[in-house]
Amino acid sequence: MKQLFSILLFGAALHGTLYATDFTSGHAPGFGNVVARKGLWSAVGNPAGLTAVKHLEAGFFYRNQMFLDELSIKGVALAFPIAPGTPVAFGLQRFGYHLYNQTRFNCSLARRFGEKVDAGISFDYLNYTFGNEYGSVSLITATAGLNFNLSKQIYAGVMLSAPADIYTFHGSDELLKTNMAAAIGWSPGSHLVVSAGVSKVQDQRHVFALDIHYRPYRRFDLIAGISSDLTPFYFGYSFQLSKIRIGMVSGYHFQLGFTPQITLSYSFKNFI
Amino acid sequence: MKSYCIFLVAYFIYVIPSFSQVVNTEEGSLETKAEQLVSASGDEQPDLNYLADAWHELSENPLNLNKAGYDELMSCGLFSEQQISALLMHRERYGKLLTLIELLVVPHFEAEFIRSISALVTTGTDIDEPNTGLGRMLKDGTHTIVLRTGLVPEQKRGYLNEGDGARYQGDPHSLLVRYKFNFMRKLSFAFAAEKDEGEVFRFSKSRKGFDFYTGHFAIRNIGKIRLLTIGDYQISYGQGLVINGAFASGSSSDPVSINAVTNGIRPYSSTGESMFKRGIALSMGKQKFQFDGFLSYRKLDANLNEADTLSGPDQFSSFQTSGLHRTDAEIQDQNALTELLYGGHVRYKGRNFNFGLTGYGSRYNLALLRDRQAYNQFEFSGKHLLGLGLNYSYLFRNVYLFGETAIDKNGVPATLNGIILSADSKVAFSVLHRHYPYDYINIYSGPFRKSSKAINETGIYSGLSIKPSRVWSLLLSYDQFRFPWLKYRVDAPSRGSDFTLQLLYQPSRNTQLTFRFTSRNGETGFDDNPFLTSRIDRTLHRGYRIHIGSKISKTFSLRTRAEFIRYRSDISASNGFMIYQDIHYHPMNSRWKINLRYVMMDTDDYDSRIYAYENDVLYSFSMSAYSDSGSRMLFNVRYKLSSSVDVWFRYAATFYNNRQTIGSGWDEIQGNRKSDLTLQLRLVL
Repeated sequence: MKQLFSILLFGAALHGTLYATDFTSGHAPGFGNVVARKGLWSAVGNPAGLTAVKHLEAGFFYRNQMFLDELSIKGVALAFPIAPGTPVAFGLQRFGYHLYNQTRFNCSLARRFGEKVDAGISFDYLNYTFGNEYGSVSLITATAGLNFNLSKQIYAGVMLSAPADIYTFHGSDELLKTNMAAAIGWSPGSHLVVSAGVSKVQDQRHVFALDIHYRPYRRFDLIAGISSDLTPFYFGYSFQLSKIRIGMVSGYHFQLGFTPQITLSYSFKNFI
Repeated sequence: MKSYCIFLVAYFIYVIPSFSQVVNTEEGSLETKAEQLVSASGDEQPDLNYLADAWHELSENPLNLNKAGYDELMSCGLFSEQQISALLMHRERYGKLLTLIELLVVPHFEAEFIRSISALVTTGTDIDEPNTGLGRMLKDGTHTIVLRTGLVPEQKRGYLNEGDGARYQGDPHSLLVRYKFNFMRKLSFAFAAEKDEGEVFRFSKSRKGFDFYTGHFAIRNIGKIRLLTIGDYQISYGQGLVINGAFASGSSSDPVSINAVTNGIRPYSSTGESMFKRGIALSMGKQKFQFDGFLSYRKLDANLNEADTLSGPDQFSSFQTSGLHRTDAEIQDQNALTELLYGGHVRYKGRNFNFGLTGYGSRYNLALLRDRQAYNQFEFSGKHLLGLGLNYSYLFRNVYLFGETAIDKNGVPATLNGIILSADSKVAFSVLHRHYPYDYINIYSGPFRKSSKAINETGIYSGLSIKPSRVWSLLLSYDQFRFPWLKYRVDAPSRGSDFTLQLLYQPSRNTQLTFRFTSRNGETGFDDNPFLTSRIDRTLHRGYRIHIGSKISKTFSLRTRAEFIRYRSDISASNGFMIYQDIHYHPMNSRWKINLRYVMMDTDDYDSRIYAYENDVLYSFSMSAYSDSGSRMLFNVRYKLSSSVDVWFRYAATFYNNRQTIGSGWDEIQGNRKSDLTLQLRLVL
């Protein structure tokens, strides 16, 4: 039944940024090349991508990893421009359950510098809660990102989060893990984007991803991709109803099963 | 629109001469396909000679694109379903093609592809009267006679007299005699006789000269009869999940063209001794419906169980598919089993969709009784088999859906489904899912798969083709699969993944540069398990290849390849390296055609071996697995004695740096050199 549910729901938001998050690193790409995406969900990804936000937008996502509530991730985001080419965004994400959870609240600012370069920075407040008696710990860190519009068809993005050595809690020698990511995207037309990227969380293996976003119709998108992380295949779609965009995607692992995610975005002016 | 086409023809007329001057010739495409098949097949080697036959038959009788219908276009194996549909729609709308250049305006046809098939197709106006009499066909047809002999000069252990007589009963020569008649794809008959090295050539009560005979008579398009074949033939339908006589591998050289191209009934006259049926096959129908029926009764090689009180005399333990009958044991297995196969296929073809239903039944005179172990307990045993399957394909704008679902005699279903999407003129991608249960019984199937049999496998394959410009192409594929039950030598459920990246750079028609990276993760068992309990050995196989092809003048072409293999497992590690240089001398209108190759290889062991296609005589395929440390040289020459007579000579030799013997068992050779000679004569009348 769960599998059927997942199959029926599968989809993705073109502007959706989907995470399988390891909060000890602050950020870790999940489905697809997050760092190369632009739009509202850059609020929880590469902040440089926020420059694509032209109007007030808000959104919500929920991911249920392997259909385990204990591994679920949910989040909300809000973005709006304060000046042409200069948006601000707020994001809130939560991972885990009552015995262990991670919360991230971030505030981002992005700026366009000419035609070629977008930059963004995000200040992150992280909170880890350990069970009923073990208390919690809070940290502050940052994420910086750049997007390069190399040509009309090709763009690239880089992102760095938790760049400084920050101990996870007082008296511990465990550091918050630095995460780096880079991706390149190619768009031969407005209906198609192909992107490839790599990310690296400190002390962990590289993760490679390749995805394709295809828009056969004006209000309907398809996404499919492969990656070398926990969800080697992902696929989904998104569609637009007036000012609302709904996206559904599912990752799939042979042994671990499906990881469905739903994304809901609202723009106070039409997306298209 | 017609005038636009004529304009296009005139505008592109300057490219016509270039069609004959490409580096990626017909042979280059064939080489790529063969390497991909062998590399993906692992231990099961495909019948590449059949592929060579089919390819050369097409080059000798190019397909007329103005006359060929859907079936002919599909059966030739050159075109995808989308291309066929686009071509037929173009013909329907605008009439016949004036030249091949006109294909440029047909969707899904690119200039590079048109060049690669230009020698195999035509738009000419050949005489093809529907009521041509038999006498006229026999008079105007083409007769081809091929004589071939081969020899490994170094003596193998099997030819030595070791006290109880030599093990190989025959001499070291291989012989092939083949005759084929063909009239414009309408009438063909062929006959071939073959003897492998070590096999006996003798006429007696028990031996009838050559070791293997094959032949067929085939006639096409007589009234409602589309094809009638008497003799030897192959059959393949749908995605090959029910029945597929041709070899299907895990992936194609094009990561997006993953749907099987099956030919239905195909007359057979190649030298593979196990990949055909023998009897009669008929295909009928017109317009939307097609009905095929086939009946085959033939003898097969099999390992008989020894007669004893437990197993009895009416059983065999396995099929023998090598086709070799050199030793007493191999001769004893020859024709030991009789197979009766019958079945049919019904197809409905709509404008954009196809449905097909295939069914078969088979019966053996002896029962298969395997040596039962945990891994093969669900595999076929007994005397009878049944299978039924439904295949479909649907083309909607730029999306092509295809698939097949089949059930075996126990009702166990297997399925394969895929989608190919041409998202843009420069981007196409594909996804294919397959599920073959561990207890699915079908020994005639040959669909997309990773292992040697279409059982005990589940996987998802995805492919991506990006052509951002005229000179650059990027091909990617990723396949993840698992085997839910045990396998031979693998004592636990296992899994694996394959990734391939290929970057092509073709700055001009005469130069092509290819970079290829492959990564294969797998799980296997141990040859000699060093552990007390069963364990799985995880393996990682990575390959890096650079290939450069360049036509440096009108007569000379060069090909250079360097390849590096890195193999790792839990208990071993090895590296392999190979580099070769080809020189091709192919002057136009010359009697001579010469190919030279020099190879240097250095691999730590067989796990890091490297495959490469080698030029061979016409109608023959050669794939070498380069392993160990040494060098190899190859000399291949064709001389045209007259317009009707061609002679080929091939000499190849491998020199090993660190060996005193080559091979094992009865194939063992003393010394560090192994060579082979081939001589072939072809007469075309």
